[in-house]
Amino acid sequence: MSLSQSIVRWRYRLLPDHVMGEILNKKWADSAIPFFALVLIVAIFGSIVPRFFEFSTMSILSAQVAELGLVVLGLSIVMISGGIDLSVGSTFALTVTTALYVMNVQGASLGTGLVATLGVGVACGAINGFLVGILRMRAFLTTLVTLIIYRSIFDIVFPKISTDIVMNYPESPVFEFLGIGLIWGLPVSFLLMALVSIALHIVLSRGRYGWRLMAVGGARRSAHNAGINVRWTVFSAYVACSAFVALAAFLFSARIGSAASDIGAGLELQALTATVLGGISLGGGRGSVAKALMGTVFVLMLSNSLLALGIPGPVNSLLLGLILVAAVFLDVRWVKNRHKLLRAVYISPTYNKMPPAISTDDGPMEPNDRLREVGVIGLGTLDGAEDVIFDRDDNLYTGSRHGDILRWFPPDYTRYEVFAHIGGAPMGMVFDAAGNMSVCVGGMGLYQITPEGKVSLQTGETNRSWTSVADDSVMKLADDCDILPDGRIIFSEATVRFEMHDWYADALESRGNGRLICFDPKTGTTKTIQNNLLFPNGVCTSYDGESVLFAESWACRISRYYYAGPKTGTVERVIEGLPGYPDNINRASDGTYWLALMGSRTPALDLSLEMPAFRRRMARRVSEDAWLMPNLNTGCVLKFNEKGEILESLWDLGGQKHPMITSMREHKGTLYLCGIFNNRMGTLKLPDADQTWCGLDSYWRKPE
Amino acid sequence: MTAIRRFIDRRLGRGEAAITVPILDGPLMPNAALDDAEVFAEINEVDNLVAAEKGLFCSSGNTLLRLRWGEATAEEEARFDAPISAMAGGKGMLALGIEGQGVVIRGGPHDGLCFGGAGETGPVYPTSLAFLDANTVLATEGSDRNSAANWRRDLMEKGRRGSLWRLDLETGDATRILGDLGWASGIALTGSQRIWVAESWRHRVISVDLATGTSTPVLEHLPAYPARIAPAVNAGFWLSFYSVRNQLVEFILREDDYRQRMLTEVPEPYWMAPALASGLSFREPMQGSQLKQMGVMKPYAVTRSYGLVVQCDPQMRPLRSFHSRADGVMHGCVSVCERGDELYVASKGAGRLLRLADVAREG
Repeated sequence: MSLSQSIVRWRYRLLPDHVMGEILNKKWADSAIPFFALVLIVAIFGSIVPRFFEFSTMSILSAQVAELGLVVLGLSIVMISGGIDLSVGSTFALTVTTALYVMNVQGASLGTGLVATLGVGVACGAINGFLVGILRMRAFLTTLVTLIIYRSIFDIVFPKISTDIVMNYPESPVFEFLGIGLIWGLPVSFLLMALVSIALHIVLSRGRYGWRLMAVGGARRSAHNAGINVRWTVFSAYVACSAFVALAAFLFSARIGSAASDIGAGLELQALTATVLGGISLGGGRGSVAKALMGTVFVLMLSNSLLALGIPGPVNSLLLGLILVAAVFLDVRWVKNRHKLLRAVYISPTYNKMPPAISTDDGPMEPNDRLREVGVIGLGTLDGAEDVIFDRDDNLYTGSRHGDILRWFPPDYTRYEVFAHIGGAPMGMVFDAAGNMSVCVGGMGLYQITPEGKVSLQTGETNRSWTSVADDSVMKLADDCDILPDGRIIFSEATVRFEMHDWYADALESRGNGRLICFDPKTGTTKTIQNNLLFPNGVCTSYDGESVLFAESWACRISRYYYAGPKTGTVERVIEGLPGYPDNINRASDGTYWLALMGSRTPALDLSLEMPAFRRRMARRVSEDAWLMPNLNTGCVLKFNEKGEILESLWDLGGQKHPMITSMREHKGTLYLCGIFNNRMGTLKLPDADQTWCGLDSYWRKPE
Repeated sequence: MTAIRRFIDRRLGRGEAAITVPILDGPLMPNAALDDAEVFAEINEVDNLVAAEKGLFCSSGNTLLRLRWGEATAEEEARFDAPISAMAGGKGMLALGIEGQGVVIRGGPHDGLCFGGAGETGPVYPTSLAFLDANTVLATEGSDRNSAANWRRDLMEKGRRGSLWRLDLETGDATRILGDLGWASGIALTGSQRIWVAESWRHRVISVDLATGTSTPVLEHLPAYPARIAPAVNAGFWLSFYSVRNQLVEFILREDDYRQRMLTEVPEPYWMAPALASGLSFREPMQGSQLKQMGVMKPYAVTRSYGLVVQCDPQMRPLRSFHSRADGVMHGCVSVCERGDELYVASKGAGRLLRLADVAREG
């Protein structure tokens, strides 16, 4: 191997680029930009602003975070629902006035004051909510108008009571404690805000209300069609927003104890900047508490630091405005291009140098036309018969793309019935000792069907692996299964990165994305036993009582996994360098195994497997229709023995009747051929085989 | 500046690095006319159709064959020690292009005259010929390195070594009129000093002024690689094609590492490159949409080989077309000729001589 090839190989071994796509797929990936912005601002101002990291600075900051944070949280609720509230500043001014008047002038208790303040806030929010939610007026214009109205009311009322407010002091000591008290060195208001945040986080991310809010914000009409009361949800968002603002105002009053005539002016700019900067989309439907708080801390750190550096207020506001514009720009671009970016980086091919192929020029693999003139079952009826199996009464079972298991009746297999409906595409099938069928279902997992046709889920989840970024516990493509003498079922999951209909993207990647999973029906437990397999496909329990054979399609090899005996848990290669892509393995009547090669290796593709960057660019630039793929139009069926020696092969050159053979099963002297994309099943008489052999007997002995 | 833009373009797949293939539309709307056509004769590697009084001349590898009019059995006229790569007839003469041996004149006053043989100037690997008058033959050469049969290699090597020649039968002089062509493969006369030349790798037909040697493109952005041009009775032309362009091939042409390794490491029949016929071996590459579904190959699947004949008006504007699509077999139709109301099409890929009745009639 040349040096440059070694470099490519090590580059793909050490730098797993598929992780990038998996990270982008995560919901929290949205928060990455605000998080890095926050880190950046701490790094910049931490180094140039004096006393940035000192306790007193942090203490003041946390009190401010409490107040602005609540406003931002309120605004976030409205924005998640798809609206906007510009009147938060004016509402803040009104509610601060209320709180100070009730607490200072009236001398009310904490409870009364809080209720009065929240009451005024809720009233302001209800007006907004009524106009926007119920009357369905434009949120932007409506709240701009209410901003002016609330501010005007404040301007009328405030001068009349301002002297009273300044002359009096609140009588409630709890109110005072709320303003200046510390618990564990932190302001009470901050802890209160933290509690509210946690509660809101749970509601938004886990609660029914949060889910509805996201739905309304994401797609109003769909939410309506799904039965959500859109008007009420929007109304409630504005009320909740103003209630949060009122709470913030109450905390502010407790801390400051007085008010000026410009209170709350420009608050909407600050809050809006914080919200958008945090990554809460202006379009609605996206957002979280964490994002809102990150944005809040960012904005406060910025304005406090600028203040500490002696930069005048207007310049401060100007900077804030510019950052808002930048954040809105980023938000729009991100929402618009996120899926494009994801699509571009998700498919990440890796280096996979293939061993030289076993010769097809002579020997047992020499092509022939023995599969050309075969019998046919279900021509035009079958659609997606990936595997086939027989019970002791010679009934033939096979799957269809529509999610059915079909039962065909002997002797000629021209009549059939729908044995069971599952819903997903059935793949490999096996019978247990009691005659229950277990079947792998693409996208769903392992299912059991009783002889009466009752369907139940056996397993759809396995243990999540520690090193995987994506949650790989759910099964994406359960492929083929077989049963151990003790009743455990071992099955393959071809890939954890792609859905069934994207299987060719996995071929393009050629990474070990698949695994072998063991399900124990006695305990109901599921465990992954082998990871990082290259599209594990066929699975067959060996006659030796201690191992299973499994095929890895994109690696063109057959391996053996020991589940018992001295080599328990180890894997051995059985056949390497197959000239095609192995699919299902099943037992043959003479103590050997049948193996389906679904397609043939082509030198042009084998070469590209050594050039991952070439394949990555191809995935991005070339339409899927034109991608270089394994040649699945010509395959064959071959027979091999326990030692891995190939004994004979049966071909259909050009794939005239049986392109992409995915499985075959021998039953009473006939070999039945399946293809997942074919419209038929083939039958080939095997005159030299045991004419009474039934696969079930080889697993569970002949019944007495 | 251009270097920077090219660098960015290559990263983002824009500009020159964008791989878009024109679609078959308008007069090129696909049909199955070539698959539905009558198979007139089965001749291995049939190519170079020339209609003459005595019958239809064609080549099969090294052999020159003649089919009497109305008969489907071919008689051997002559045999050469290299494949016949071009042929033209006129004034009782045949001009034959022989791979590696240049142009040979057969019959008439100049019988036996040879151009481009060992030590002589002239096209060594002629791809097409035309009689300008009784004493002048025009010839195209695809490349002076790759023989006409090696067109796939030349395409994948991005060959730009094609040329246009004027051969004077009286003096024996060979003059190169135009060079640096991306595989000149077809030639046709217009009755004036302007002639048409098909430039395959640039997917176009150019018009060349014989007096000045200047060229201008007339039919550009073809969705296929043009091969030969045959005259039609209504002063129009029949354009034949090697194969259609394929997005993956266009992509590989921009991927130098892969392309070069493929040329050296992969045997030629298994290249990911256009071909005259495909699906002959299971080691040939397969592309996504070629996977048979429900036992059927989709006719609109992308393909490496295709059958396409286009009728053009006297200004070389396409009028209508005859196709054999991905699910057909009459691929690699690189030579056509007209006789009366009938059009003969040589499908070199399938080794079939097709006869399309009544298509050559005017109107």
